[in-house]
Amino acid sequence: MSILKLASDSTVPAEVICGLCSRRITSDCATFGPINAEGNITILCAGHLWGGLTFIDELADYMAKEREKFFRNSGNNVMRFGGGGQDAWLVY
Amino acid sequence: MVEAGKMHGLYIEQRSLNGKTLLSWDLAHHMYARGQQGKVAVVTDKPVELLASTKKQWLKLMRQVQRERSSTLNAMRIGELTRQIAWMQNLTFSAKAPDDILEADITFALADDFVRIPPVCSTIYATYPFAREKLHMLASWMPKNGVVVEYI
Repeated sequence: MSILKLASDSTVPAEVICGLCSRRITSDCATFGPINAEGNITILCAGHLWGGLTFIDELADYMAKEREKFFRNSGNNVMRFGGGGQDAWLVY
Repeated sequence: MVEAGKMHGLYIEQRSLNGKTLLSWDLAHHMYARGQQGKVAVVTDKPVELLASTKKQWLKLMRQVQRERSSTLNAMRIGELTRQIAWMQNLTFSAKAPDDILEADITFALADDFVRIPPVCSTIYATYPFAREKLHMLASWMPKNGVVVEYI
């Protein structure tokens, strides 16, 4: 791992979109959340973490949607959700 | 305040506590928001104390999730919350310095302990200041899309 990349070379986007509420936010108000159906990290508003029960519901709804999307896109194999690859092949 | 950056397939997040938020509260909620992404390493100069306080916050959060699950009729939400509760209940915590691969799901240890055996984990939380080189070394085995959270 390069020391240079850790410091000022990092690309910091000016604006990002929250995966839960779809608002445009600056990256200094953002936090990293779960992996989505495409295998990319979801960015959330940092304020959601203080959302209490509303946050729990919103995150659950989001994860349920992403799981369903992944299920449809990956040949109905919901066990692979979360970024895991195939562990074994069955050859006949 | 949070800043996000990306390097070598890892994501860097710098978080600062606002003085009212406990570190343990923030850790528990951030881990919850990240979801089931693999093992977690928490770099701390007080492993035993931070484990105890974080686990307490985790259990409080789990009870909130259980409360939400029992109060909703939305089938998809119930399914997801059920999954979350099972994950939260079965999560293991350890403050034992790792001597090989991480045994627990969440391991609390000193930077020097993790540098000896760099953890294979998806998320690292650096909760106290230590040499940058050490952070690089202990994050060296993280997979793509791993997240390093630094508390500043």
